[in-house]
Amino acid sequence: MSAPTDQISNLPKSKPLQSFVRNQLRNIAPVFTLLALVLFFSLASSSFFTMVNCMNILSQISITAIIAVGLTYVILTSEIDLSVAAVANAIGITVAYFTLQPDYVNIANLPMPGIIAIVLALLSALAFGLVTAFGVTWIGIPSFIMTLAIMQIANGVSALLVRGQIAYSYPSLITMLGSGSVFGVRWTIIVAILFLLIGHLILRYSRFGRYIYMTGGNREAAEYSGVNVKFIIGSVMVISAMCSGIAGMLAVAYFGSAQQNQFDSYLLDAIAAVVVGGTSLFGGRGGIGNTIIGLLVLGVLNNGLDHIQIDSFLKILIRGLILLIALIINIYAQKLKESE
Amino acid sequence: MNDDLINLAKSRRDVFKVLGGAAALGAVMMADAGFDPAMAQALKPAGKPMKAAFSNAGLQASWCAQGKTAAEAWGKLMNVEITWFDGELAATKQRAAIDNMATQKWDFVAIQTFGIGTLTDPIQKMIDAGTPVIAMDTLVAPPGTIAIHTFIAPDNIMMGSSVTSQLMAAIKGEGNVVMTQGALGHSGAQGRAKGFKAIVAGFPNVKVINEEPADWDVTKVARIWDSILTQNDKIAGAFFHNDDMALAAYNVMKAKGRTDIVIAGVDAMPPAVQAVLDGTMLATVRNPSCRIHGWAVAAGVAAVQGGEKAGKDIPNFILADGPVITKETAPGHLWLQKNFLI
Repeated sequence: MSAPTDQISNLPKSKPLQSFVRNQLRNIAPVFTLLALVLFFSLASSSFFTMVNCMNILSQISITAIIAVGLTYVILTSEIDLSVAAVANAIGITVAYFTLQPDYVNIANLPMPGIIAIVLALLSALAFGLVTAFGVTWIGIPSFIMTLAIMQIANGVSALLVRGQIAYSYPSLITMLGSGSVFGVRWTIIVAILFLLIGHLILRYSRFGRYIYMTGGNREAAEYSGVNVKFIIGSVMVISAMCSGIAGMLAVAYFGSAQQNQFDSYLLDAIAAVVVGGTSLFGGRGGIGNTIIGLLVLGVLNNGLDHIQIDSFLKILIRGLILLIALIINIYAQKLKESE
Repeated sequence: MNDDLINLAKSRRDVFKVLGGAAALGAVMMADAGFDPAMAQALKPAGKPMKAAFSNAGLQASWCAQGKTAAEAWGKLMNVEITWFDGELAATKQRAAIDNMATQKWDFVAIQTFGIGTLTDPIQKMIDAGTPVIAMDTLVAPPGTIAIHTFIAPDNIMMGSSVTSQLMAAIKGEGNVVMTQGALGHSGAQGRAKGFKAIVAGFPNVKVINEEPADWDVTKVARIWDSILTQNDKIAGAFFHNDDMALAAYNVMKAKGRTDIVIAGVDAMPPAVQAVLDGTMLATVRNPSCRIHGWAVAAGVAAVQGGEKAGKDIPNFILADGPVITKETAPGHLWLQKNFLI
């Protein structure tokens, strides 16, 4: 038997493999999770692995994807933005507020031409981002607290504008992008892909992207290297608010109505997508590729559970457990990396 | 006949077992539940098993959870296998669930929307595919925008006015009163507020001192009522848009030694009916979860098996009425709820 020689010859090879797994565990685990989920649901339900349902999944994750692009930038700098869903809601309501509503809508709003309504809504998103950036970088409020306050403010803006009522009309461009399709593909999917692509290219190939990783990886080292850390953190906060605002505008058209507290669940969904995909909560590691995998894992999981016969009350628990497992892998991968 | 049935049934599940074995008994039970006898004759369990999809606002809410159990019980009775898509009290979650529902084949579907207008696209897709879509409790979209099979809902104005009448009688038509509202955008909350105001308008000696919305949120209720009780020494009565909020406010009143305030609510879920029985609450009006969900099963079977057409054989709107529950009517009402009949 040649086992001893095999063992000897295998020894040097196993180390690079171990090292590879150790380094890439954060990226490998979510991909395996995704493949396992797709395989499981495809076997468990005949209606899951169909073109219609694949488009359905992409459509369902598209709004979250736009929010998650901005959030990925924030988390990569080791900060957090808890205001994404509330800002999305406020901006969606803002664009509706500046649009002429049907007679049965009882909102005292200010109708404007569509393009002006969109510009005003975008400026509002910018304002939210700038205020957050100012609070976090200039005053020095921790992003967790600052964005919590912005979340309340954005919810307040939403409440003030619609006063418990529901708006149903938006500028035609928003209606088209939010609820229309081109060649059978929803515009929201195309917009999300564009955001993800641009987000990836900036992170990967621009100096700004490298500075984001440096800021998140080691803030002091980045400062000593001449990176304007405050500018980087302020910028990602503004980017996050803009992504949320655009997502919010598309979402009100996607859902067909604008009302208070409509998008609350986007906050946890977006954070979960970023973290489940393997982007480190401690900053500096991960990226848009990870976020895409995270979005697909959550999208497939949420969708697939509706295609199999399972107790409704159990679905929430299963989602929670898979999220927990992903987080444990995330932290474990971080420790493995640090122990090297 | 009903007494025989009660004797036969050792538990609420037994009631349905007995019903499943005796079609005649079933017809009588349906008639007791409010069916027209002629209609009950036509309404038969599905000849071959049917598949239906149901969704309501969120199973976290006890009213919705009760509706699910009722729909499933009626489904067994009528040979319908029901698959549930939980709205999770979130417009985004329910939209995703209904999108998923729309990619599958169903004999009929029934939906209580969490956010009006948020489900229009997938519902339209199912209607276009020829699936009867029944709306429960809340409008799925503004009237006239979508051609649903039928809309089964309570009269929120009536619920608000009938229980407010009881409240006014109890406080002898004078004093300060509070209305703690649900979410202002909710059509149910709007109707209940309208009913309350219509009755209060007839009592010049009644002053409404607070109408703050608590958005169905019991923690918000506690905060609001802490302030109300601190600011006002004299409050005669309070009307809450649901019982959960009424019971949450009662805890605040109890902590401050203000249990003299007469309170009334809406929904008549079992804890509130018990509260009426023990005198904690004056009255509550039933928002008939079991009727709404159960009748949706019946309407679906009638549409598929009986070929009923929307607006022709079945009206666009069916009122699912519920009575005011007082100490006298509470025990019988609890029995009806236990067997998913109201």
